[in-house]
This record gives sequence, structure tokens and C-alpha cells, in this order.
Amino acid sequence: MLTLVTDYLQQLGRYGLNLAAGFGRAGLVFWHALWGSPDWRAGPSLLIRQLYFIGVYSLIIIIVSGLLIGMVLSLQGYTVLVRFGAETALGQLVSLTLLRELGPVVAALLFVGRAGSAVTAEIGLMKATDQLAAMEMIGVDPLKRVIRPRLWAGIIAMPILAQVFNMVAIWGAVAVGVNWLGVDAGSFWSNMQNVVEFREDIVNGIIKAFAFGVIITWIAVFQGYDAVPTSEGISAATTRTVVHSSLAVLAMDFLLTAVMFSTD
Amino acid sequence: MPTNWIEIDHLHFSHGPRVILNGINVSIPKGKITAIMGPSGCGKTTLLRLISSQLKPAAGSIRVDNIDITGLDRQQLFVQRRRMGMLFQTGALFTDLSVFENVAFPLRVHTNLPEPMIRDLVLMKLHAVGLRGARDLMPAELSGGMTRRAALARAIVLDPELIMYDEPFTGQDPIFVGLLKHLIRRINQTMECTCIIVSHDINETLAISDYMVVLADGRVIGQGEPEAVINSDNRYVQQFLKGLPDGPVPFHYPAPDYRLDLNLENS
Repeated sequence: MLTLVTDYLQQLGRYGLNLAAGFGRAGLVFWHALWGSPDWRAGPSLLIRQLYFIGVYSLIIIIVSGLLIGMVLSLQGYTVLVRFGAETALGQLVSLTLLRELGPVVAALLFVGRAGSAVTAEIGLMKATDQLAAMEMIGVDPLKRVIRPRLWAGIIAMPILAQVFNMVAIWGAVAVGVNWLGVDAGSFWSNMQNVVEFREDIVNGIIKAFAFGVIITWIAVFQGYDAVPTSEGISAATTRTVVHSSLAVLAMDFLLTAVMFSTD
Repeated sequence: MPTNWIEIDHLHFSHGPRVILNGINVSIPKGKITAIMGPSGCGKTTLLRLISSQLKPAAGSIRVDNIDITGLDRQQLFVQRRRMGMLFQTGALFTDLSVFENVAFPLRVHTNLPEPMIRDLVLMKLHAVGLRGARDLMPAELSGGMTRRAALARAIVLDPELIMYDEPFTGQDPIFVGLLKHLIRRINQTMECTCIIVSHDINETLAISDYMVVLADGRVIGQGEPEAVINSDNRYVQQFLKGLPDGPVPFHYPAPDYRLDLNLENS
């Protein structure tokens, strides 16, 4: 019995130590990747290339999902509001839901699946095929050359993608609510304009998306860089990226919402 | 001027509880081709990665050209590594760059040379390994031998003072092995650089080596001119060189008693 308890405590201690070491390594990767003077010669082209891979390639899924979610939101909102004769408030409902919550969160979850997993797998494979080691042997720091542009690209792309998502979703909501279900266009837009505040709703939404961009890309690059260089290791790292990032996004969303929108 | 380019002193390295290198002392002479040999899993590649400081030792020192590389910080290490070239077993070409751009990569990041000069230098190195015509191919389009030759061109493009070859002959056909032996020898002579070859291909490696280090069980069991090492009466060395299946390096991985394992004790 005693040995069972001590074994359990040992396992717990080991798990705690590994967790702390993991956080330490992740912090070091983040620090080394962002710290230091930028490489003005190769830096911009590497960043643009990664913005293209991470941002532009994510556009299709963001646009299609945004459109569908806006349409569904509008349809569901209409069926509830019409019972109270309040369907003119549809613009208000759709815009606040999207700008404050759904836009940043759903765009972030899609971004995790589309870009986060790809970044982890790419960096993990570069490690498994000795490309990172080769870069070090050439005298080039992979944290600067490989990790830094991906990290910045994710941080820059995420808020833009979230705004694209919002825009397309509102357009989808208009298509369903105004063009199909017959809500008055003037009421829809004026209600929206009256209730949405730039600082409170739009800027807070952008801040959320920025925070999600940092956490997702950080987890993705670290998991790739820290992956065990085998096929199982890369598969496990990609899974961890999706699971950890998704949970981190949802937990962070709750915290940020509590700070930004609490009425106290 | 020191005659030894690398001095390794009481080097210890462990991977978890497993001791890989147990206090080894190795000297690698300047301007020569040194073979580091030994059975699989004896720590040859680990030693190469320690010399290039991709791994940090638990104890001991590694002096490369009189600089203790174990005490360097990240930035100093990257400066030192510009004096080294390494041919990885897999080639490790950057898969998103063409053969030409792979070889040009070290020049682009470390020099401010004009484009026509980079082009000439890259083509000269590619010509030296016979791949001038393959400059526009992507790594995925190359055979295993071509990948290693392209990686060799990249490793020598900055004219390093130390070139490390990790298992260069493994899994290659005889034509490529002969070609690579010729290339390694020619690079050593023309560039007057120090070369280290990690390998367990005895005949191929000894044919071009000037110096030899044999590792087994985390220790150095033979070191010196190849002829002297081959003629030594060390049982480890003899087992390795003659390819005997059992001896000081056991055939069996440590295991409990065979009879007990098969539950034959009671029958």
C-alpha cells in the first residue's frame, strides 16, 4: 500500500517536473525567436512567404466557414426574434455575437486546424530529416530563420483573418436575414450601427484575436521544435498542437471576456 | 602550430540512465583524415555531434583549434560552426530549395558577395561533386547518392577547416562509394582541411584514412595510425575488424537467464 502511494507521488512529481521543464523550454524558444535585431536582408522575404502560407492559405476555410456561420446565426436568430416581433434587432444580435465572441474564437479554432497543425508538422519534419541540425551546422540559428518568421506571421495573420471572418459572416447574415427572410435592410443596418461601439466591440475583438494568434502560433512552433524526431513523435506533436491550442483559446477567451465585458 | 586540431579530454555523455561515452580521450590530427569506427550504438555519431556541439557533454572538454567549444554561448557557437562543415547521413538538404539554392545558402547568409560570384562559386562546387547539370532539380528529385553529393557541395562551399562525415557510405552502391572515397580524399588534399569520418564500413574507410579511433562500450579501445591499430591484440578491436558475431561485444542484449525466461526450471 505504502509503495503504491510513494509510486503515485513519484509519478506525480515526475509529471510536475516534466511540465515545468516543458514550460521552460517553450519560454526559451519564444524568447530566443523574438529577441535580437531583425535580419533586414532575409527577414522580410521570409516573413512574407510565411504570411502567404499561414495567412493566405487559411483564407478559403475562413471565408467559407464565416459565410455559413453568419447564415446559420441569422436563421436561428430570426426564428427566435420573430416570435417577439423583434426581428429588426437581428443586425444587433449577429454583429455583437460575431465581433465579441464567434469571430475571434471560431476563426482561431479554424486557424489551429489549418495553420497550427501544418506549422508543427513542417518544423517537426525539418527536425526529423536533420534540416534544423544542418542549419545549425551552417552557422544559422533555426530559431531566427525558421521559428521567428512563422511566429510573427501567425501573430499578424490571426487578427486579420478574424476580421475577414466577421465581415463575411455579417454578409452571410444579411443574405439570409434581409434578402431571404425579409428583415428590413434599413432596420438591420441602423440597429447594428447604433449598438456596435468601436472601442468596446471591435477593438476588444481584435485584441482577442491577437492574443489567440500569439498563443496558437507559440504552441505550434514549440511543439514542432520540441517534437521527438520520429513519425510517432511528429504525429503526437501535431495532435498536441490542436488539443492544447484549442483549449488555450477557449480558456483565454473566457478570461478576456471576463476582463473586457464584465459589467462591474 | 598545434599538430592536433581537436583535443577531447575525459569526455562523458549519458542519454538518460544509459552511459554513451565514459571518459574518453581522443586527439584528431590537423589536415588528416581521421576515421572514428566502432560497432553500432557505440557512440560514434554522438561523438561527432559533441564535436560540433549539437550536444552538450556531462563532463570533460572538447578543444577545437584550441577553443573549448563546450563553454561557448549560442552566438559564439554559430560563429565557430562557420569553420565546420558536416555531411549528414540523410543529406539534410533543405527540401524547399533547389540544389543550387541549397549550395548557395551558406554564401547568402554569411557573405555579401555579388550574385554572379555566388553563381560561379556554387557552380564550381557542384562541378567538383559532378552535379553541375542537376542545379535546378529539387531534393525530392535526387537519388540517395546525388542527395549526399549535393549535401557535400553545400558542406564545403564556405571552405571549412573541419569537415565531418556521418556514415557517408551507408546504404550506397559500390560506384557511389568509390566516387565518394575519391571526393573525400581530393577535398582533404586540395582544401588542406581536417576530416573526420564516422563509419562502420571498415575497408572503405581505412582505404582513405590517415588516423583511426575505435570506440566500443563508451570507451576508446584503439587509437593511432590504422596499421598500428589493426595489428593491436586488443580483443575488442579484433572482434570489430574481423566481424566476429560474439566476443567482448556480446551477441545478446543483457537478458535474464534463458531457462528461467522460458519457464523451464520446473519441468
